[in-house]
Amino acid sequence: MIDVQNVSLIMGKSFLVKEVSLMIRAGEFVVIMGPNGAGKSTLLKMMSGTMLPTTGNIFFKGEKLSGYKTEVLARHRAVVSQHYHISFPLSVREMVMMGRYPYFKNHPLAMDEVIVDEQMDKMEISHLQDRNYHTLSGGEAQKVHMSRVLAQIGDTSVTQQKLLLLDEPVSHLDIKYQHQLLQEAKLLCHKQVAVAAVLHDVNLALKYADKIFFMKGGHIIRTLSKNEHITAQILKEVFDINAAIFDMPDGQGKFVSYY
Amino acid sequence: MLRTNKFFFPVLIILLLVAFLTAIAFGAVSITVADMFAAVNHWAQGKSPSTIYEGVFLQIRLPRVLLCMITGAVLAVSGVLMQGLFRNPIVEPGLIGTSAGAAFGASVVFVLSAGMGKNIQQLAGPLLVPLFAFAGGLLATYTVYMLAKGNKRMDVTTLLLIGIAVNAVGLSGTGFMSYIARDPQARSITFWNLGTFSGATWMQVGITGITAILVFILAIRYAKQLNTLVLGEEEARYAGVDTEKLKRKIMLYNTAMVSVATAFVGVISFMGLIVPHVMRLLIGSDNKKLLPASMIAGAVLLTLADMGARLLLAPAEIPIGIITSLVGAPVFIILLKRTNMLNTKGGGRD
Repeated sequence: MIDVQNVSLIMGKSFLVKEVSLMIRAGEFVVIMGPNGAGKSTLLKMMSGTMLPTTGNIFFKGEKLSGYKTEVLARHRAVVSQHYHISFPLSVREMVMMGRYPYFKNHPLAMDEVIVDEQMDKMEISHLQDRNYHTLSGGEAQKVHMSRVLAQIGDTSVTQQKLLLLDEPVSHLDIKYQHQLLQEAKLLCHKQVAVAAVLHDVNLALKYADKIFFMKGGHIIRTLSKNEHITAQILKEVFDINAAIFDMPDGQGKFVSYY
Repeated sequence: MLRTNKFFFPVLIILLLVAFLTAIAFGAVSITVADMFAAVNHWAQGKSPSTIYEGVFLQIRLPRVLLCMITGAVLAVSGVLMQGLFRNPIVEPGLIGTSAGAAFGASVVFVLSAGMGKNIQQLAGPLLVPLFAFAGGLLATYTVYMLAKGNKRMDVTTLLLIGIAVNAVGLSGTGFMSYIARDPQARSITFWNLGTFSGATWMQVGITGITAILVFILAIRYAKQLNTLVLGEEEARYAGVDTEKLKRKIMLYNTAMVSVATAFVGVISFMGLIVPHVMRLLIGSDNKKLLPASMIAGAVLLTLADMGARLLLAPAEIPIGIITSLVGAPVFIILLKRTNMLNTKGGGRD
């Protein structure tokens, strides 16, 4: 679905992303990991189309990403960003409805209202829908943005090839909702949506990712597929930490702890 | 607080009617509803007004009140647009140089018109001040826009700072004009900078009215897109909005409205700031509701302010800008304190 070909981004004299190539297929869940300043967010922004690579090309559904019109792209990919600064008070419902803006002209249709209700249900924020966004906690706000972006992906009962980009989407969530959010994203993959998420928790990545890209200094230095096992050596190399790897109690995969 | 009460708009419209009727009725000459009907009746039959009351109503009071309402609506709508664009609730329409440019344009006419030659004076007549004010406003705004744009995407912080700089240039230009002016001219500049509706004519009502209606119809179409700017420009693009085009359109509409209104009545401060702010507190920030609500509330408030201007020191008249600033500034500070309190509550967000 999205094909990143030898892409670099230079800001001033330094490379933020250097010669990165990767491909994400429809229905695939990939996670991008790496230390702070590795270029993860920059890579995600280039995949979203908001930042143009200095060199290299990105193809989305076979066509150049930079050739897409803003409004067309909005119906094919959605983004959860790392930070939000909301300038005016809006209700939670109004905020989630913005996810439907690419689909209606002036007034939301009945279907838009239904989708907004559904997505708020999924993130369990329906009871907050009349609350002023500015009074929410960090975690609640994150759920609101996820609902909004899920609404932008749209009707999830039908199969559709769309791209969902998540930049640290669970940073403020408690453990239950970290899993719930990623579970929702994973469900979308069954409907041919491709997901790329930046995460910091190796265990979350191991549980949900079909493929993990490890970035450092603007490069992808390691790629880990579903059938490969994480090793302490990889984690040492990427994060410069000592890790111990254990089997999950149910035998389904591995988990990591640090010392 | 954010769900719109179903009585909100009806109440607003009733307030508008009440403000309209009281503003017509009270003044140096009191006018009754019967006078109004009689005057409209005579006018419709093509007859001239039969009493002085009808004459005052048709030729003085009605155009004045209408111009006042239109100007109030224009300033408030412009405030909503600019606040949305700059993502900042304390932005005023004059911020990007429009008012200061217009004021400079007007001051040029006051001081230099004598030396401009008969032709220009005859050609433009009473439109000379408005034309120069409009040109000044447009020039200043365009300068701000071009400087802020550079060759990349327009950064809102840069735009704001350049707006401040261009405003300063406009002010110093006006200051210089006052300095070289003779006393009566300097007085004209001062009065124009404080705003007044005392010279309202039907032609002014027509021009500002048509501009206001056109721009409002155009602007409301962008309400949805303007909403997405609340999230930030990058997020607005994610939601499918061509933010560069949006910014250009909004700036153009704002300049057209503000310079036309400012051209006829002078500089009226704080309206564009207070009205959208109060409406935001009452119905939230959805521009689809905020634009029409601010339009009506702006018309109501400026009409009331103008009544104050006419009646407080009657038979003398206070420039309306003095009233809007005197009342507006403290209200603004109260609102600001309140908003800060609201924002620091809740906690836990970053």
